[in-house]
Amino acid sequence: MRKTWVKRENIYFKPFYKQKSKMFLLLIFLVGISFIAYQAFSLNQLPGVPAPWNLQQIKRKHQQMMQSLGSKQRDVDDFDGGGADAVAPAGGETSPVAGHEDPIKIVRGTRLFDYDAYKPNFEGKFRCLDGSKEIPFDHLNDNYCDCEEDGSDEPSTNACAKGRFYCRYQKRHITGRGLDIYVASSRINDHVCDCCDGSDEWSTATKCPNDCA
Amino acid sequence: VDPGNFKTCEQSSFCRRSRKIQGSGSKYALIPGTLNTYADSLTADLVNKENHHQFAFKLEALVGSTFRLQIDEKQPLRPRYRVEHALKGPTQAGRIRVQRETDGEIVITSEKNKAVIHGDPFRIDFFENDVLVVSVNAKNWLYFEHLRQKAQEPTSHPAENENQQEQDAAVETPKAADTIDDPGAWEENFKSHHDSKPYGPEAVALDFSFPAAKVLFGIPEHADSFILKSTSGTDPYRLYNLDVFEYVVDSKMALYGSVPVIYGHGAQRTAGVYWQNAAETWVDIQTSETNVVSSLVNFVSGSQKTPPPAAHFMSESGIVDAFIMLGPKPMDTFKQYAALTGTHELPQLFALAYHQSRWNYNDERDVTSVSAKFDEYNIPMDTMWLDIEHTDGKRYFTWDKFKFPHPLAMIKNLTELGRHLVVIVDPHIKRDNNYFFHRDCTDRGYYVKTREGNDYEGWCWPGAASYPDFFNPVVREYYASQYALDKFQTVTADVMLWNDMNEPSVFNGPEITAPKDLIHYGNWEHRDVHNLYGHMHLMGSFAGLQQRDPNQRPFILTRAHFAGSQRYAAIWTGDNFADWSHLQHSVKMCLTEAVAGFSFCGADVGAFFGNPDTELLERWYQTGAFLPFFRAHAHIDTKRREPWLFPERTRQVIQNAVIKRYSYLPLWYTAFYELELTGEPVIRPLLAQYPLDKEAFGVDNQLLVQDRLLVRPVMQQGVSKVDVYFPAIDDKKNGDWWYDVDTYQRQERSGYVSVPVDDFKIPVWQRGGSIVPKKERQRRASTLMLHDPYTLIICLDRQGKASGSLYLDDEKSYAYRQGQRIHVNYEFAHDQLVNSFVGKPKYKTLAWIERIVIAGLEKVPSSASITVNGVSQQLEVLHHDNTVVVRKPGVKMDVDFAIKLNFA
Repeated sequence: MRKTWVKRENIYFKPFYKQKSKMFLLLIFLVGISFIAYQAFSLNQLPGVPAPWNLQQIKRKHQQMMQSLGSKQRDVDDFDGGGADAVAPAGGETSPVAGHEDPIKIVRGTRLFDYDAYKPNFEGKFRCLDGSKEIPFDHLNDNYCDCEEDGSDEPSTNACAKGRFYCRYQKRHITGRGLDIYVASSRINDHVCDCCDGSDEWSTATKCPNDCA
Repeated sequence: VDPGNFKTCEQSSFCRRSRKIQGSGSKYALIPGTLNTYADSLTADLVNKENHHQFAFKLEALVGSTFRLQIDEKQPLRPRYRVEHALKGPTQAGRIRVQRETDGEIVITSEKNKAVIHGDPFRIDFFENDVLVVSVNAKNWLYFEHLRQKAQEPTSHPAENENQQEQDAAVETPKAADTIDDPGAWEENFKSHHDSKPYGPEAVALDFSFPAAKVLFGIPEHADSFILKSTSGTDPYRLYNLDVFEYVVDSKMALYGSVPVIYGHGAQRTAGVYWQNAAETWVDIQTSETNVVSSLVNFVSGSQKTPPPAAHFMSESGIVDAFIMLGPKPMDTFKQYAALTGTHELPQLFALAYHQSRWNYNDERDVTSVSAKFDEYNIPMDTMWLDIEHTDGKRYFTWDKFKFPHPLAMIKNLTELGRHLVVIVDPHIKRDNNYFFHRDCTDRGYYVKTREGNDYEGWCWPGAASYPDFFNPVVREYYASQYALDKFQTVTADVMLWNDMNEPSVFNGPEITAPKDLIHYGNWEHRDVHNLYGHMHLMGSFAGLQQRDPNQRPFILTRAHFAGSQRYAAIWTGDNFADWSHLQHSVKMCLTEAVAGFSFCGADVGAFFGNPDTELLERWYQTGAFLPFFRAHAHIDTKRREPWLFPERTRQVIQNAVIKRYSYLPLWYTAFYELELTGEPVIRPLLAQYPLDKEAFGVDNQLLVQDRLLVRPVMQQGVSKVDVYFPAIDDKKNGDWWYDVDTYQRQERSGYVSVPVDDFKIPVWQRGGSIVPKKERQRRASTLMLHDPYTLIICLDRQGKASGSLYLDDEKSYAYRQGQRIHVNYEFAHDQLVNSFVGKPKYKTLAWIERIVIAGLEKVPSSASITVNGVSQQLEVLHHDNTVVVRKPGVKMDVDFAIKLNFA
């Protein structure tokens, strides 16, 4: 008898549970469902807000932060290079008049790029620029090195071996681009003018010519 | 080095003759009835029983457990040379009491010391607290060649013949006994050089035994182990200042300096002998080095008796002038020697910092660019050095106008950065009638003279050269006046000095130095004063720098030196070679120099000859950072060797070593002040602080900085660990605690410990019970660190205590001698740190204490409180792995305070 070939339909049929792509999509869907459920549960756990945001509170908080930063700047400006004041602290410094907005101040020896990093964070602390450590904000620029790895808590003094002092004058292209010029922290207040504007000699009586540009 | 250029003992006539005495012994006796006693001394006559020549003998008691012994001819044909200017001043007389006097024996006492003089054979035994420590002439090797007339041909005049016969009759023994028939007695040849010896044989020799000692050390300068080796079968150690090119190590050859002081040390007693003689000197050492034969002999004879170590000093001329220092401890003996010859003055701080030198920096731009590169790579550096090429054709006190057209501007560029310049001035003077110095010396007769009365002409760097006679005070005064700023107009008062080649070096002279029959001031031969020439050169330079600026402390580096030169200059170990053995010998040589008064010692970092590989250079910087004089220097034919010319890792290792040196500058400065105050060496061998530990006697690859740091530099190639010996404070192996200065890991047991090291590691420990001041802020030069704050490192001992000191002043002037200084002691006990001032703190300083690091506390304190003027304040305490840090005490250096640790 003659043998004939019979075409059979669905020869590669696979049940749905053996199709990998479909299982994968199903898994994603289930994860999404569980996530949405979790979010719904979390939202349900939030406490009720009795009132809208208090704008005055926010302003007061900001004022305190700026005052703290401002007084730190004045400390740095008046810094005499010796730590003996800690033993016999001077009288309380005059605070600016409440409600008066401080002008913006940049910590001496830092880059503009790091402006925000040199403000107290929400815990009122300073975090080393390399993220390794948090220190109380009043330790910033107190002439003692706390961020030993990068020296970032003493930008104005030579207390840290690995610190950098960014000169006040930074040459910029008209478009605002340019590298930040810095000198090693060992050059600060050593009676030798290293920044072209002499800004590294901020507490010595050295007369530095301005050779910038 | 070519050893054929230098003599051996057999080639030196007087050494042969003096050494021959060791075989037969000599026969000297006190003449009965000649004793005279005074309040501080006694005198008597000695006689040589072989030739019946008489000598005058004097024994003085000095303050500080020291005796002085002098023996001279009673009636010399002409005076014999007595060394001048080596002692720092007249000796201070003690008092003696004659306890017993018989014809055979005289016993005198002074303080708690005793001297027993035996008449026949002549011997003196010195006792300290009734323990015999030094025995003079115990082996009967005293040998004193009296001055003689040269034998003349008999004349035909009958009257003279009668006189001659009459004299012969007066002598009881045949004349042959008085004749010295050694071929070199009356004239001597070495290679092509002739020594006319107009006065004939005049050697002196004497032996000193140290019965209470086990080892001998001292008599620098030799590239040999710290503990002196026996010279049986080899040449003696030689003391004769020579210009040795590429000296070899493990050798008894003479090098650039000669300091004839030797110490004998045993567990119970230490004593020293200073042999004050400036002529060529050989020293035979006899020690009982145990070997198979001696052990067998002792076993067979059933006795444990070994002969005590002994030293036999043999000098070519002069007199016997010996100081016996009775200790009883090593530090006491060193102080007794410092009381005789003086100490380094407190140097300016820059001298203790890092120096960069090379033969030669090419021109002004080269000097400026090297200085700028140190700034670029943040490596501190204090002093640039200029060698002979900066001069106009080796005419000292001049500048090469093409290479250095504006020296004052170059100096100003350096001093503005807080740095200094040191220039070289050598004693050879170019014979050039257009050279002002030569013209002055020729016209006024200032040069050393030949036998015939002409100026001596030798060969050195300038070509034909002559040498000023610095023994003449007029010449020294003239030389000093050349440094005045109105004469030496091209330098400022800050430029300091390097005196090299002052052995003196004569390239065409015998043994590369001056002939012995030259004539100096006072008609003394060069033979009598050779080892003192460099010292006299220094005196002229030092006076010049002081006259130039009376308020500034001078700094001079010298190569040639003699006892007492430490009052004027620092030294270095000379022309070393880039090899690991020379690195190892840097420490041994500097330890020997330190116990002989020259704490301010260093070696050319990187080596003078040869090109070191990166590993050798790294280890050399690490070793040099812990020797008192820290300078990189190299020969003109070597490759340039500034740190940035090496791979980055090597540069970082070098930078770390230099920065570590700078952080310890307050310790070095305090140590040098206390050296001037007390005479205690700055760097010390282990046996100085641990005299009872027999194992520590021979350790010479480690050093102590005062009693606070133990340094064991890595000085072997390719090692990943080193063996460190931690000494025991008694004979039961109890030791101090030692804290690693990097990790503060504590080492509690004594003996050898294997310590892992990597490229960056310098194995240094701080002793438990010590407090070390540091300045951890970095600057480009040490002069800029003046106002930077201090860190106190407190390492506690087993009882929880520690103490230390700190000294500060303006770091430059002599104002500290008028009281402008702060010398403060710190004590930590019962969890409290207090300071107390030595005298009043009269120096106004801005410096303060920024950190106190305490290692060894058993509990962690919760806080600390500081009390100043009765007011207390809380301080923050930080806890690290092995230490507790008190954060920012902030107290100024001249304020009394107390810091108390508080525990929860």
